[in-house]
Amino acid sequence: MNKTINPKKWGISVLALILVFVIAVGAAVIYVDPFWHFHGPTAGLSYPYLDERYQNDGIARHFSYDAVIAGTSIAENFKVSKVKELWGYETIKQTAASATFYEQDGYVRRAFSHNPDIKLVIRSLDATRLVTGPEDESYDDIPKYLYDENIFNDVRYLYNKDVIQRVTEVINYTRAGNVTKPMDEYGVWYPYATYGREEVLAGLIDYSDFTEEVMFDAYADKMLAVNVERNILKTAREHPDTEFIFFIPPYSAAYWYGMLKTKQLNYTIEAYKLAVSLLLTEDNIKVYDFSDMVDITTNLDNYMDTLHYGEWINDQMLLWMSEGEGELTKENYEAHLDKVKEIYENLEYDYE
Amino acid sequence: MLFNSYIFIFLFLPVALIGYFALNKMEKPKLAKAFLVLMSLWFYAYFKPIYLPIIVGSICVNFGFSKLLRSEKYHKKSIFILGIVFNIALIFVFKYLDFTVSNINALFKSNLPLQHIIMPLGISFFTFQQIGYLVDVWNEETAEHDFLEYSLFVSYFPQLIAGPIVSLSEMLPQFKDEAKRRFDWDSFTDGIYIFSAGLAKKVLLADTLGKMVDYTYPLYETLTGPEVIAAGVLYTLQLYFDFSGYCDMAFGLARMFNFTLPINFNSPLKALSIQEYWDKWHITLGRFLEKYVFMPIAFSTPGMKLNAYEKKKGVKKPQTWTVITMILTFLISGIWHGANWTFILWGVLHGFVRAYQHIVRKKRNKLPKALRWITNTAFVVLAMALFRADSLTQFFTMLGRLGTGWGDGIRIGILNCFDVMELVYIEKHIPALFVLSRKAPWINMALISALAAFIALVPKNLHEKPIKKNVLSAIGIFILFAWSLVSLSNMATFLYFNF
Repeated sequence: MNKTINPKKWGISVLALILVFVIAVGAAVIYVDPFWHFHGPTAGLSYPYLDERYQNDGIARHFSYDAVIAGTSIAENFKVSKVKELWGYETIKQTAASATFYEQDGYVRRAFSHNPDIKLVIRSLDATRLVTGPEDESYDDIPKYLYDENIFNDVRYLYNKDVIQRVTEVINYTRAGNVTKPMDEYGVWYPYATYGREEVLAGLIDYSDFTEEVMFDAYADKMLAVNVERNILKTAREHPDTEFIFFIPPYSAAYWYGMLKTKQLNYTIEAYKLAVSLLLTEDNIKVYDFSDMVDITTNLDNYMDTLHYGEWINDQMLLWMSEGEGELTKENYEAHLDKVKEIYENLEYDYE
Repeated sequence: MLFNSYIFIFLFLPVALIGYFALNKMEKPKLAKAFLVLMSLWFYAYFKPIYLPIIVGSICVNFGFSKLLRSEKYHKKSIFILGIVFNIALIFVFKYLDFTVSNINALFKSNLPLQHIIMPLGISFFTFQQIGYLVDVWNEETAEHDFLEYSLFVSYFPQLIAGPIVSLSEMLPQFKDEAKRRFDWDSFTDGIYIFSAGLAKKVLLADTLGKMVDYTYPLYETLTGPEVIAAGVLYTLQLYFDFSGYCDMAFGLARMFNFTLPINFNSPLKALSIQEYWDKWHITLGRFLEKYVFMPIAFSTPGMKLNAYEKKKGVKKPQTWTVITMILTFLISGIWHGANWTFILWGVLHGFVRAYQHIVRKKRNKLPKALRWITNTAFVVLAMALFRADSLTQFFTMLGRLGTGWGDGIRIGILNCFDVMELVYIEKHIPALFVLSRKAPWINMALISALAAFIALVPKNLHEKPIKKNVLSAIGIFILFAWSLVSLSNMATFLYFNF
């Protein structure tokens, strides 16, 4: 081992080892393809669901589907089997925790680029994502190299120790006798959640510093309008035969309590009013709101924190949306949202 | 383009090597040099194509000045001054204009517009290199060379964006040496060895430490004393491995092409004094500053006059001007490092400590080595903490936090920065280690920090010992290279759960 060898032999040996390594690692990643970037699931292998931002594009690329569910953590617990049952569509999830509208629209657009025949898109309308920049992202290092057709940047996928670890995870997962779980379980967090009043109220803060009303001013108005135009309406217009369903989630009453205490209730309602008014300008967009379902929102056992409800609420929302329950129209949306405001302004909270 | 990137390793480097040696083999040395220049310009323009005219313009103008200096008989001094002013103006506009304007605005309550000019990469390096070149031409220290050789000297990609700062006299004989135009396995394999070691320093150590530093600094208002110290120490190690790793890569790349660049780092964290530190840290900047800044100031007329005045007053060994010169030199070094008061203060502090250690050197040299090392390193770390700070406010706030939170230790978010995939994987598969990592969440930080400190402080420098080419080193270098290669890209963890 310590005997000196001539530089040529040494150099060729090192280069050969590197070459073998590059070929072997590249081949292993391409064969297993844990994020389904090059192909769908390899026959004989079972895949754990890893990270939505890494697997979304692969699913959109290689799975067959008629409908897409996009959105944030409030949409992650939707079951595609429910969509099949209610609408009759094969569905994929393109959700990503904390995704901005720009990111959500990006996933929808990528899905359209792989499958132009999408019949239905279901997306969440998160209050916190309404007023953001039109190209804001939640993270700096989103793996864009997976979201394009540029084969050269795939090198970041092929020679990536974390991806290599995912390759071993797929192999170990398969060896342990697991099977790839149904799409219902993709991105879900409910198996790890603990629900209840105590959990929810733990998220409340000291509101004594919030003394000034937050105004929905011209700046916020413009931001929201640009955000909705670029990240919702444009895509809807480009796909007039696709039905787009947006829903305002039933955040817990504790969330609205927080809005009231932080003087943002009016701001949130005004933001929603503007967003809904813009969405309803397109004929292929439907909007639903479940904020007024006080039976749900005041029962904190439905929630793991102020925002996140259990998966049974997702099931219920799909049922309501399929039946047209909670639909907002040009005629009723303002009165409806005023009613929501009134409800949470006047609710008798016992959260102190 | 960065050395630690896929495009460089998989495409640029093989093309550059094959093209250069193939053209030389075809007896086209001029074409080979031109090819290397073009490749270097591609390397540079890859960052931002808009940078290209700046470096090309700078090369052309400086070569024009040198031509004039060599041919003109009567206006040499004016041409020389104009050349230096051109380079200083170039670096001023791109690097210091907005800093100057914002300070004028702050001082005079004015509202002069900021230009928000994007600084071209490596401008400090190639400008200093060319200032040195003009001085060498002025002093008639340069051998005959043509535009192609000059262009290669400035743009040669291994040293283009982060040094080492080389002189024409170091590179020109190598460019002209016919023997160096042939592919040489010995030199090439030296190159692979040193490049891989540098790549590992940068990717495996510096970037890992950098995660912690990047996470910690923005929390400066709430940091505890132990966190402030950890941030300063680990940033010192990060910068050392980052820059010395980069210089090793540059050195290794040059060796692959059969050239030799000057050594830029020589275990500086082992230094017992600031003078020794600067003899070992960024050596080529130190020697540049000594030759082109320190010496001209030290032997300037005011200095000579002050020395003569002090001698007349009975001072045997006048020190005042030496001290002033040291502080001025380090002030310039600080300004060179960046347009921020943090860098200026950093430079001045180094100047003062350097001067102080110079004055008390006889007494200080009698102190135990360990004490000299500890005091010197404590200052280096303190100065590094300032060097990394975004503002003086951030630095002084961190200093103010030093006495706080000693019972709280280091928060879990900082410790988590050291949960590198490799360690987590091992801990996951060895139950005893898993239990240990849960009981002592600081263990990964301790392991990585200790390893980094050990490498920086204990073994001999890479350049101090001969490169052994045996089976063991072949496997070792392969592992370092392969490990670094797959660490160039990693998966982000999207932990944010709300919304």
